[in-house]
Amino acid sequence: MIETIFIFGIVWTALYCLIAIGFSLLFGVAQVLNLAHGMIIMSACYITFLFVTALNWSLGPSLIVGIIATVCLMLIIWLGFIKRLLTAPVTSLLLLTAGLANVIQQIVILTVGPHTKYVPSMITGSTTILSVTLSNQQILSIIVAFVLVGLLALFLQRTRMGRAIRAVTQDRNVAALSGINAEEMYLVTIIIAGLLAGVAGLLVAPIQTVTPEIGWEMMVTAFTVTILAGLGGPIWGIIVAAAIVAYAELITAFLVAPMLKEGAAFVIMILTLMFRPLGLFGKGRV
Amino acid sequence: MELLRKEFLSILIVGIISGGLAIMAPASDYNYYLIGLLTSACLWVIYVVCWDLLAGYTGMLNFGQLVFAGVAAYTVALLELHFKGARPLMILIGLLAGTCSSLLIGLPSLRVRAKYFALVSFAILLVFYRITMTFISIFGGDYGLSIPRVFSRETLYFTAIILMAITLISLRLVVKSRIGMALQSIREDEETARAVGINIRRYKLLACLISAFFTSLGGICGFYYMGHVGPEIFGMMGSFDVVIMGVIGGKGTIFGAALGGGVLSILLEFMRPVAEYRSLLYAILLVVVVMVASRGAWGSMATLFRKHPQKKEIEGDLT
Amino acid sequence: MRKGIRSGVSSVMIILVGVAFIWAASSEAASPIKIGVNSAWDFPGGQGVKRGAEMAIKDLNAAGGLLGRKVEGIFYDNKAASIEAKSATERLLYKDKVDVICGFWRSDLAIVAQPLVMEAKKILMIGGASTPVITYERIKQDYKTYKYTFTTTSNTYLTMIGMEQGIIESLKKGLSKIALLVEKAAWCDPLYDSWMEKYKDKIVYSARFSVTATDFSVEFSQAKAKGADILAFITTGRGGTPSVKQWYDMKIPAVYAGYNVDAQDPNFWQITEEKTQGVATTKIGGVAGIAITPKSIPYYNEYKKAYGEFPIAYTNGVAYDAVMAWAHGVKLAGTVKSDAVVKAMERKDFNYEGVCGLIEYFDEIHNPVGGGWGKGEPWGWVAQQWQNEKQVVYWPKKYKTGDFIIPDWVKKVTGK
Repeated sequence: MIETIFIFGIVWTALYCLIAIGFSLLFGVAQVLNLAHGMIIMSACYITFLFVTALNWSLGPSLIVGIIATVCLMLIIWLGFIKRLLTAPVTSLLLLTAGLANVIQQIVILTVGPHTKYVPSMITGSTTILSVTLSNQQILSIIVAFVLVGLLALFLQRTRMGRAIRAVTQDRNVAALSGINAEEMYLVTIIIAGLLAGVAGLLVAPIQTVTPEIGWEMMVTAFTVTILAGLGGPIWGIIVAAAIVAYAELITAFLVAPMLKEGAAFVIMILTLMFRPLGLFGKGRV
Repeated sequence: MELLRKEFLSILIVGIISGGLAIMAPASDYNYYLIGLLTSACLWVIYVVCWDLLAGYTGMLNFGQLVFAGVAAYTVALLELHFKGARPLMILIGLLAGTCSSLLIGLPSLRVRAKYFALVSFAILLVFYRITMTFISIFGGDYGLSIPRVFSRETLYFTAIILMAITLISLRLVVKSRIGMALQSIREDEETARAVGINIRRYKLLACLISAFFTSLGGICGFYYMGHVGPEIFGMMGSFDVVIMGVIGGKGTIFGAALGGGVLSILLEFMRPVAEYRSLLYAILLVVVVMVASRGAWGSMATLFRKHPQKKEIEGDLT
Repeated sequence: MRKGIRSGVSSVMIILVGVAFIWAASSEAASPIKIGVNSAWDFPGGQGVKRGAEMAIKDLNAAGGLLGRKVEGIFYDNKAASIEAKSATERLLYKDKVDVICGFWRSDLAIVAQPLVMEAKKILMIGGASTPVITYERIKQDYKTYKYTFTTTSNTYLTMIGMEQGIIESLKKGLSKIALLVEKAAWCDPLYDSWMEKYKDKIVYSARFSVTATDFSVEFSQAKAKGADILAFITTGRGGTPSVKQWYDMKIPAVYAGYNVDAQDPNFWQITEEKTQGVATTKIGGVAGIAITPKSIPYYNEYKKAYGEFPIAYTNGVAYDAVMAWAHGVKLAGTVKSDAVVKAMERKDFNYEGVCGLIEYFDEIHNPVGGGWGKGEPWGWVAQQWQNEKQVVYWPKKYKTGDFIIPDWVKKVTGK
């Protein structure tokens, strides 16, 4: 039993990490709470479905198209909408992104339909670790998740662009003095966030089921993990936060009742917002 | 009072509209469809106007306005199903419950900033949804709680009109009073408000309680009208519709919000033949309004008709 | 000259009046029969109701209409919200003035809308909603008001009998330890309570899970640890596909039987990457490509032609039969007037052959009976099991195409 919780906890940590990281990055860098993030991931799932299942393309090209399409979607949302309201009061952005999320969801329902869609696994088969059997797809997700987070951390720490982004995050005016163009850095961040959302969608789709409702559910997850990790904190804070949420859920299912499993995430979110709005690793004002 | 005199025109308008609505019942020969539609519209106006008190005036963007209505409705439903007797008492208890539930978002709002508040309100909504879906033996799960019809349609219709009128007038008086000014200054800049001695705590909580009180009235009326309350009242769709109506109608203007609530809920009915596009259209409208006409329909019209713009309108209205 | 003009004008006027009369009279007689349909289009179940009703209306018109009149369908989306269901229903009743209302996949909406239709003394044909409240409770308690309600969807007290067949078969084969995993939703509360009581000495683990859950690692491990060899899994939610995959991946040594909406999908074998060998669920046979009646297969193919996919949700079949059964009642009564049609539909020789089965008659709570399903049995529902890419029907006897099996890998582990 303990092994089951331990191993599956890793799986869900990885998945939650993937879902949250794009959102968290954008929030950290541009202070934008993109409520449409969950829907963007959902779109990635649907795009993958369209190409793989409906149009019968093979997996490789479909994945690439899926990621590119997601990045494009993200760019459209940024350039066409969010960017124009950056100087408006915060609530406008919340309303805007919530509205966009609904638009995306409705478009999906109207075009693809409300039925559950299925995306086949990228790798089949299963492996047993510590007497717990996982599907290879789940293991792939774990590997990709940690690799991505690692790459992102490296990018932000070691590359010039990464450092520029971090400078903009700290203080865009001071960064401007060093000749860093905040606009450009935001754009780069958006592209990265889009990439992360796309990959998240592709990996989550075979494991979850793809319906129009998962958009908001993933948004809640992304938000909980991000808030728990905290604004302005290090990247690996996301992993810790995702782990806390994942394990809290599994432990609740085991010790309390499977029904209340998802309640654990809510409880964490509310407690964090009320008692430690900065999150575990956050810096700055709330 | 002086305030009443100043607001005489608004009160008169509300009275006329209410009278007009009331007459429509016998005029249409008590057509059930029409009465149902208008009852529903009155309730939406109540919800949106109450939402506006929080969002437009106090700066608390509430994504879960219907929580208050839901708590009140479920309370009354439970009382109706399990106890016989004094209906007025049941309604009173329901009102109390609904009003107090505002503290669930009111108290956290004292600690966090605007954008987090919006998400807390959303979270509270989801929590209540979960609770009603989990404890099925008490709350009926997705079937909800039903009672046979208690009040006639006409009674509920006139009640809804009266409630709407009372809510509109009360809230108008509130926002034009000192309370309203205090709330607006909180919205503009909390720090400054605190500096000039405004008790943020008291006013925020007051706004929550007032908003919840009238919303609860609407919720209870809605419950008797439907004969049913279900977890969907804690669903995203309903509360988000309130937000859409408020923003499109005009945040920060009681009548704008009322306009949004009334017009959009009736428009919903006209759109029934193309109902599948309704949600999409409303969401697009929301995006458009937020991007372009941030003061909503009412605000934009007001700006258009103002002959001598006194001050440059600051975006700050929207906070 | 003037006289000529005058008589000319009068003749024209007489002709015009005559034409107007004839036109009015013929429009009266030719005014269409209106069927109002209300369901939630954003969901597969609700979309199924709409499509089934659409196809029925199309077929009625293709056969020359009903009582010589064209049939017109008025469709409204209720977005799975009770307030929309109420206003849509009132609109159908009082604005569009329909002759009958068909619909409601969502049980809570049926509960809310039913009194409205009854108040207007119009017939309500339920296609999809299975709550016992609308038939079992209300018709019994107040026949006079609720007699206008008929359903082609058996209520949950009956459908759970179908879901139980997998357990019964497994017990027959010598398996004996049940893990009862039922989603947390109002419709299956009676099922959970009933089975907990009935099998109380065989149940080793039981749990309720959320309809949105997609991970069952904890529940499955517990079941395995307690030695369960029958996994009674009941879900209409998100966990349908993930649970089967996880059951297979985790090699839980138990037969997976119960109710799984995803498993009804004809493509489920591919969707689960062939992990679904041995999974048993129930389905409305008529829309599963099984020749329950001579109309079933043609309907199956017509549906694919019309919508580009084979039927997935069961609601389209029962909605189709709901409309057609009502039409049959109208033909028997010779009018659309509700009281007469109710009398016609209560006839013991009703004998309407639908897509989902033969309705020999409607019982006293207006549930359908006949054609392989007796009274007290879930009309239309077959219990099927996935065996080697095919959905094999093992219950009821009349439509059986094969025996219930225990999948090989489970056999190996349990030694049965």
